[in-house]
Amino acid sequence: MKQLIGCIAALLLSVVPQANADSRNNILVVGMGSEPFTLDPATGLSGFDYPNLYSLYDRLIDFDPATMELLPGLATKWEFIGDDKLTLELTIRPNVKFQDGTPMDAEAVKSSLLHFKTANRIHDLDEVSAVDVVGADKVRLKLTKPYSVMPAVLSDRAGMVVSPTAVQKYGTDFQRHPVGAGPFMLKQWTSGTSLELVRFPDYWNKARIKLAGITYRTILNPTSLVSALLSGQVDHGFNIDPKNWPILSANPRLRVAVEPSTAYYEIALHKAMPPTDNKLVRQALSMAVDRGVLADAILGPGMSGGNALMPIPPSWFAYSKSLENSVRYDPAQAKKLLAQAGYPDGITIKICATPLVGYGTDITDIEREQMKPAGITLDVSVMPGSACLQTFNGTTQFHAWQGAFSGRPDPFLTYQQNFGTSGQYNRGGSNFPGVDALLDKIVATYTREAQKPLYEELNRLWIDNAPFVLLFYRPQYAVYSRSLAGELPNLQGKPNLTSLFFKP
Amino acid sequence: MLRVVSRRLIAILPTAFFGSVLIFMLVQIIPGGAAETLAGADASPELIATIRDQLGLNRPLHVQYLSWLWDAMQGDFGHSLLDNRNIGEGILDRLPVTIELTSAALVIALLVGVPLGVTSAVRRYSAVDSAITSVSGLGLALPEFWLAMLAVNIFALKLAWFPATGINALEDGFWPHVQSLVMPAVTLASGAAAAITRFTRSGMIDALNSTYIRTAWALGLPARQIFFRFALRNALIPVVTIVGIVAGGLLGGAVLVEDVFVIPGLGAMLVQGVLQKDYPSVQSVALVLTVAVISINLAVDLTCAVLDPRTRG
Repeated sequence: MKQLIGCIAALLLSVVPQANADSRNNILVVGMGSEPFTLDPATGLSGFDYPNLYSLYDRLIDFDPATMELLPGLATKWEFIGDDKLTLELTIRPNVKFQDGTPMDAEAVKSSLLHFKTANRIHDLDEVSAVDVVGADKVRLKLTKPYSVMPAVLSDRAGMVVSPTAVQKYGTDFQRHPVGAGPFMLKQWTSGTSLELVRFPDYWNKARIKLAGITYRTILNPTSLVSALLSGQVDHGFNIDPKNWPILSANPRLRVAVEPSTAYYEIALHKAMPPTDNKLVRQALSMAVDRGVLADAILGPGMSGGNALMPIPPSWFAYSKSLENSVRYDPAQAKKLLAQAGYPDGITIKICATPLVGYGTDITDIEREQMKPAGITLDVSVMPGSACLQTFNGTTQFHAWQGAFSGRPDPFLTYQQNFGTSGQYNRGGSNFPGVDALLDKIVATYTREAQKPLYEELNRLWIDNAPFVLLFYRPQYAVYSRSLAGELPNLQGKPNLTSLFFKP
Repeated sequence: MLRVVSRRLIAILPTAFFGSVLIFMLVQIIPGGAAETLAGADASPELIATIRDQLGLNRPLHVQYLSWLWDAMQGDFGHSLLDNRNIGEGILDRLPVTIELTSAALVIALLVGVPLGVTSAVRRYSAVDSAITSVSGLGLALPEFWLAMLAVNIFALKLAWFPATGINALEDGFWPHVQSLVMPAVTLASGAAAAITRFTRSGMIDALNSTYIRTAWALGLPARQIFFRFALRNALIPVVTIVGIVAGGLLGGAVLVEDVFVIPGLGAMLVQGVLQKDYPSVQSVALVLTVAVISINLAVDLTCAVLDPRTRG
């Protein structure tokens, strides 16, 4: 009997998977806490899909991961032409092919941009009135107004060039059969299990790619993702709950990294509903949260990227260091502001929060206590997932929404979408005096040096108007197997894993 | 017997009907609707209204219910709101994994539960009986998802005997497949094994206290024959009944166990659908699971009727 048990144990142990690159034939296995619904860059909305998209698609314009300065991609050159700068001319890289063999040329770029625009899900190309091919390698985008941010837009989803042949062939089902000009191509996609990609042998920049493939495993349960990392079943994970840092750091097989990100936590406010339509009330709310204490409680001591008063991280050029301590936790002053605003007996703020740990009710529980001394009662409603956001957006049921913002590839887009009168996240469509004019000036300015003082002014207006109660920055928490190297964390916090390789 | 079958079949119709109504209505009252999900977080009320119209959500609820039920009865579960995939195909892809997991768990539960229950009854009030009763009490009390996390910590992370997550495909080898199935199946079986142990014990004790067993002892029959040929056969009738309930419980437990072990079965599909508000998927999976539980109970009823003519009524 003992011999039988010994035999079974030996047999079982002999087939325990070995977690190293050799046994996986140089395939990187990534644990993903979410699964893409679509791999068509024109129809997806989730920021979590970017590692998949970066693997499949190259973009017209690339960016320096550390500074977000723009770099050549599938377009080798771009320039605004004409005195009015209403035309952006792109020079397309020659001899590039899509994964299905279709040439990636000017016609393909035009087709891709029109595919993005007509999908009508993301409005990044709304300022483009026409796309013209003016040569085998030249494409011109006609703009409706001076729009210096357009090259940055082309470094995002809109610039991910899709194969016109595949779009034609699959129609709406292209989202399940993605074909781009990126370094990896689709091998198999099993819903709920994994997305398997293999190296594209005719990739134009193949010297850059060392992996034979990437498998994105769907592991929705955060605890299971940590288990998969600890046991070596996956080589890399990101968006990891930082509360797991001690156990992950202690594992000799793993390397943990806190990487930059444009993401931050916020309380979004409805600016057309009393009392949050009142600037003094919003200022009081901003003063009634102790950001440092909140960040330490939610992310762990010292794990946040700092207190947030502006909607961009300190490492970005548009950040104003001189303003970073201009609002402090001061419930007594907040109470005075409420009295000035006509609410001497305090206010009740109806806020919606999700039960998601690290993002929702655990934050509002602390905020509720911090706000009490200022005379603010936080009335929290709990709703699952994005139902909360939809109710906040579509009704006047809530003054506020507890959430987070992932950031945009250019600071202008972040400010325009949150602070501009027509901004999609400016709930209530408030017209803040001076803001739209300043945004127009910024978008008609073409260098960072010239934009910087304008952003300084915009940051002052942001803090004064307090359109949102910003809380703290959330860095990207990534975990790597120690056998991995070559990561290039980017400021946007949306990992591009194509540069990773296994150390020899 | 035909009368028994037809009577049981008629009896399950109201259960199936109320189950389907409940599934349909519960999903209707979850905040945020299908149209809102499809339209995205920043959609305008006009776009949401258009999508509601396209999906037929403006029709009266009873019309929507009947249309949904009619389609489902023909195997048409519609398409996922998230990726537009055919839900029926998704269910068929995932069903084998869930069936394999729950079947494995049921076999383990029976292989462990029946012998332990018999031992406990035969040696009742001994130290062995106390130990088995205590352990089965623990098995009933501990939630499967907690046990799953504990098992991962000990057997995958510390001892590295089994993979922490996932099911290895059968094409990758029989043993790796079995190895990856062991922890989820054993975890899922824990509660069921405990319940079967308790029922077998109590059934056996009742049988052993009956007059025909006393007569068997008086006739000087061998103990083995008395325990296994006479007592156990009668003691197993209530156990067969409990197997139906236990199998339904296993399907419910699989939802959480599949989530923890990252197994792409129906349970994981249900959890994913709930989290991402994919209502058609949630309704379809819940309906399939409900029908499965009702069918298992029907099969158990019929088995009992075959084993024990008194239950035929």
